[in-house]
Amino acid sequence: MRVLFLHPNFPAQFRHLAPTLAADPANEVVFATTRRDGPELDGVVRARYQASRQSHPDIHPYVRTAERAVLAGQAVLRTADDLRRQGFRPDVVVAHSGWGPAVFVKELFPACRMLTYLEWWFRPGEANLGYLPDEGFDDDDALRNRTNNVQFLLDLAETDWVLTPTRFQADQVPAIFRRRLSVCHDGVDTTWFTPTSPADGGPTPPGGLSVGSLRLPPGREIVTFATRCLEPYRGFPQFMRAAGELLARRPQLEVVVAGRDDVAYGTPLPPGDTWPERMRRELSEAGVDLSRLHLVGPLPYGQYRALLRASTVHTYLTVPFVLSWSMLEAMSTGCAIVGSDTEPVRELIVDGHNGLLADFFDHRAFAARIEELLDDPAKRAALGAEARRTIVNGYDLGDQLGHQIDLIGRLARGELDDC
Amino acid sequence: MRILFLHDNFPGQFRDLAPALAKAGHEVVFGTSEPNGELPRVRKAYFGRRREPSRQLHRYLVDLERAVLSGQGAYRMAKRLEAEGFVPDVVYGHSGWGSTLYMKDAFPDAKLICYFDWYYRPRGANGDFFPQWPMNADRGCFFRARNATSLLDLAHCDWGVVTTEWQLSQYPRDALGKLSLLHDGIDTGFWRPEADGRRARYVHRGLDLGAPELVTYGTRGMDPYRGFDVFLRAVELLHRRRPQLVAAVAGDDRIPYGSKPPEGSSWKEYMLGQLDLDRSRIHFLGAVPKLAMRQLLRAGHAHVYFSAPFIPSWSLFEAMSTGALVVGSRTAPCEELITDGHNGLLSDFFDHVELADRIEEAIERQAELAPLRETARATIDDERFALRSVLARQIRLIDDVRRGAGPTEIEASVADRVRATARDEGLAELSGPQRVAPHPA
Repeated sequence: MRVLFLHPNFPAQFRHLAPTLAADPANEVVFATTRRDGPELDGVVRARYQASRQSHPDIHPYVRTAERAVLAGQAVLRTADDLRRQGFRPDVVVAHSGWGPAVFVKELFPACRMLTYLEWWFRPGEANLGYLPDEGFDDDDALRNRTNNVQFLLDLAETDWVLTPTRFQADQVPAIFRRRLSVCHDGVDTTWFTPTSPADGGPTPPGGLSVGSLRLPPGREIVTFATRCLEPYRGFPQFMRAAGELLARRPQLEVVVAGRDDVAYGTPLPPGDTWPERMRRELSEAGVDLSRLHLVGPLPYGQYRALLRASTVHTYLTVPFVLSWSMLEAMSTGCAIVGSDTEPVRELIVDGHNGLLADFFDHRAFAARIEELLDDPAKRAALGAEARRTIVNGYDLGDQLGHQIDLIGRLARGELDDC
Repeated sequence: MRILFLHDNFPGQFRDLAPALAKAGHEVVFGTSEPNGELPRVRKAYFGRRREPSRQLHRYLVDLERAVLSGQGAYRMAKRLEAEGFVPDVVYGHSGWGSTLYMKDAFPDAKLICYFDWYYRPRGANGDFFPQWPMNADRGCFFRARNATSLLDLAHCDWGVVTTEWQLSQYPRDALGKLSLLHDGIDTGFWRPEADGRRARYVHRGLDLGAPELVTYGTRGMDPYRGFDVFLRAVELLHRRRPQLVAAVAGDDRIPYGSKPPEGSSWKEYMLGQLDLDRSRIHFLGAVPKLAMRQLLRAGHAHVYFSAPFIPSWSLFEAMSTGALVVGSRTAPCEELITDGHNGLLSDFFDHVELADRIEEAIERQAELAPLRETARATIDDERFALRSVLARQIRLIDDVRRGAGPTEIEASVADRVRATARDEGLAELSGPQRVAPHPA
């Protein structure tokens, strides 16, 4: 079977899928991306595509996304044409939908089957759009976001099957496109994201915690927060306010925050301003002792896991949007989690069963639920064990890869053509 | 009920439906860019574009930007209507030029029904039909991108309407889940043969076509999409073969679809320059009013309607309804209505010699082929196309959508053609514990 992966980033969600397919000698795997960097993936041939130009700043802002998709789609055709000349014709194209790489791929390979990895669909006034009151969401935002669905639609019109990582993401897709849709998560490596050891019940590892320049001695209670970017979409301001309350109440408490001071989603800040700076200022003005608040920046995977293992209570917040891998990684590591009571989190966490939930906007409720766990080691252990079980049973990398490869195989054999 | 119709060209496909609803006591507003025309009890509202598409935009997306600009205009119009106290229960709009794009934002509680004309396929329809305009990767991508506006409407509307099987067959299979197949209706009471079955005589604007052999042709414009060039070539042959044969062409000298001729900007001028026609026996009538058009159809010994694999014209339906002996092209839009030898004759789209032969056949076998005229009339004068039944069904459809009926319950729905979901196909075996499964609609 010949498989062509398309993703502007590399290797992104196909980090495990591409090399696992390539490990089978019966398969030939090419990965076309805009990126030059990134790891070598065993057996995976890299190809590169690049848009011939950028969008002109004068075009209508509502069609900028569509134009970017069309330019990416054309760039992929040029790359794919080279591949075709070299004799590579994919049986299946697995493409991330959103930046447009796959919109024209069937023009070149009419016989291939296309699997669309769909992360999101815009619903003005629902889910993420308009959720944060401070962001503001006006008529212009609504119309622009609605038009932005073009990038997904050009794929959906041609694709043979759609994959979304969670049910919540699938729920966003218009009903007519859900007939040929499967929910299958990218998966978490549950053999790597493990609790320290079953015997280790202490709040921090025997040797203490060492991440970045931070050294914490053993015996501290540690509240953790870790996302790619420290931003309102992931509830960073509310978390900091909750942390401020807890730091004032609990002299033994250390708060460790991992992530970049950048905004990946929603409204960017003016240059020079960052959410960590804003929140430190706010807490400092409220008289909170910041010496026990540690912003350690983005962490390499090993240190990130060490942080999760050392966590007494882990927190994860998100607006109703794409769920972060980090929440599943924390669950796999057996963290006791307080999550935001929002749809993507509720899909995995049942309050009181494998974590606790609190209102996204209510930082006092968050502080109270974190404290509830800080004071109850038995409950922490029970919730953490159940959280890990959730991931091992339903989101394990090996299992999920098996499902995805099975799906790709069925597509290649034409078994899903009549669905 | 309050209903808002949207169509750039007033009244378009809603010319009968809008006044019928108004007459039934519903409050009807019609949003359009066309200042001319009125319909009884229907209030007009206007929208327009603030500017035209920018020159810096990718050429595949010029249609989309124009649609976005129209959509914004229609959105502003909707906000004005709202400020005046008009909030519709249903918006029923022609899709493709953008006016419908943002109606779910303007009126979130209203149901949006879109009338879909055409979905562009690079192959198997109009895209690769003409040998002189070959399909290639560039045009193929352009065709795909041209669907952007239709796809946005398909995704966001509550329901859609398509008028013929042929048009329906172009849409992505997922679209069937929210489409009805229902024509906008032909006024078969008006478009009917002469009461006593006699041949009429076309007399209009001082022209008296009392010809012993009259061949008629008439669509909106004159272009290869409707076989205009092939028809004129056939006439050239027939002028030589039959000294009494007269041809009459109704319609404007313009190009609604397709490309310009190799020289000049008029297919009429170009073809007249190419051919040796007896100008005393071919009449270009210009746009012919309804009543005179009916006379023309009643007067002809044969009526030629050709179409590339594209949207069929109203004129085909009207000609058949009037009992004309139609010589159609052997292409999907004609073949859906005409069965050769049953309710008309068919001829190869590109073969003017065959067309001339078939026209001759029609003329020579007038009496013998008379039953074809009756069958043609019966084809249109039935519940699929006759206005009186179609109007009732359109109104039922609107009401079904308004009250939130299920996809298969809506009038003329084709949702039951969507195959059983993959779940019933045993996809469960591919799934893990409930994780890889088709997502319920």
